[in-house]
Amino acid sequence: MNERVIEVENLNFSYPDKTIALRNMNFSVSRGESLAIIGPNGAGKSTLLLHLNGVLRGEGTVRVLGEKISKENLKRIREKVGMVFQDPNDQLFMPTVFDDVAFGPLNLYLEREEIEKRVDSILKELGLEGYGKKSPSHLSLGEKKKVSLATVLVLEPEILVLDEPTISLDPGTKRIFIDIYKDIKKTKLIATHDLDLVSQLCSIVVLMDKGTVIAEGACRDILRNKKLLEDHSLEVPASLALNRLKRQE
Amino acid sequence: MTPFFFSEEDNSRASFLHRFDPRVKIISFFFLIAAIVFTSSHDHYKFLVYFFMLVFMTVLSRIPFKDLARRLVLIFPLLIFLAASLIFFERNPFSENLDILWNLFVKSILCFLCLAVLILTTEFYHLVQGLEHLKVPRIITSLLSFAYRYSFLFAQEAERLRRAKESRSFGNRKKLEEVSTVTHIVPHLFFKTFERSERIYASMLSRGYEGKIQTLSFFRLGKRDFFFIFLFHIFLAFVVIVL
Repeated sequence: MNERVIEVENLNFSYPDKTIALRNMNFSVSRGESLAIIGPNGAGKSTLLLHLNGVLRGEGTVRVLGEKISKENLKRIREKVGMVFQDPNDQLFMPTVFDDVAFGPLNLYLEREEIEKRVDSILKELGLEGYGKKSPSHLSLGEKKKVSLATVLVLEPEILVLDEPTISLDPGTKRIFIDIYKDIKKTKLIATHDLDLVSQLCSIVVLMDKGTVIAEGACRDILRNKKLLEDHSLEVPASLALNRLKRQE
Repeated sequence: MTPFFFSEEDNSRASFLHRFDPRVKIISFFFLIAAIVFTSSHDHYKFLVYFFMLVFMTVLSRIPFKDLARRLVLIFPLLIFLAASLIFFERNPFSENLDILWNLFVKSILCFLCLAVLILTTEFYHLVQGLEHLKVPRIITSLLSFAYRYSFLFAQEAERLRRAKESRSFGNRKKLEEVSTVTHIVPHLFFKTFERSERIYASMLSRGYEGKIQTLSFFRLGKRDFFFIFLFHIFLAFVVIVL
């Protein structure tokens, strides 16, 4: 059986205004898996993700690579769990692209040469060579998303967490990103309601609504369950619906 | 959209003042500001010397005068407010008021020019790091770096709200209605900026931030820095003591 790299047990969380965001969340992720967390708006997906690197701390247990998240091991956990936020503008806050990508490694107190090597390498890998001196605020959305991804991949995390990675992207740019994510051979956790993305990238799906897990299973089984999806404000992805139509014909 | 006072483009000019160690600049300008503040309002020659020192540094730094002047305009509303308070609420003889006003204006403008030259010749994060090296408490340097970064956000959110408002305004609005709309927008603006700042902070924590902004730059004092310190402080001492 594969090693469990993320284990969430009886996780409950409420915001200061008493809004209950998570109720008795239970699920786990095995090493190498690509797991999608799907659900309607307000289901608690982003709130859940923020628990995985200790930014939010609810009641219950969150274990990452066997370690229960606590104040003492936060830095270690954040090295292992790389989180790409939904809005790249929330992730890019330094004067240049180079500074933004180097922000994480600097906080790890890596050597200067190592930082420069890592930053140059990841920028090249994502097709961002020559972008180092540019200001992030002058980039297009697709470029900002790439830089956001670079800021996390440069830390060489073991687990990659993506919050709505393809939101607002045009189809061509979305295609590019899907290919990028397919090439990343790490454990991936993707929170999204883009079910076409899920059908192409993920093997396991967790359906959330109102802060709790409604269903968990193989991607194929969950995404073909029309009633289940529609009961939770989702739809069978167009790619699967088209295949079904073709089979019916 | 960049905040008006700081311009990261200014710091790309590689003049001699840009290249000095930020700690050297911070200490030097600190002493210059102290000298200005403690100079008697009757020592007009000293104020003139301070002014020409700043002009000289501006020229050597290749900062356009109009950029400096634009930033200087920022303090005039405050100075006018203080001057008006003085005139209306202090019952001093006219000549005494004039003396106080002169003191207020000349020192404020010169100190502000000092800060403007310092900030326009030093990258902001180097400035913050320089302050940390000089043992300024981290709470202050952290506040400074966040205030700087969030001022960009504030400007962006304000622009978004302005566009949203303009899209639904059809002209010919009464001034009072405009004021009423703005009073509703301002708290909303603060709230949106606060929410966004929380998300950015979460993003910083996710990448290992522990309260100290790190940069790749390291500071090492060179001959050039020692020469500047020596020359600057000898000249300043001469102005303060001898003139």
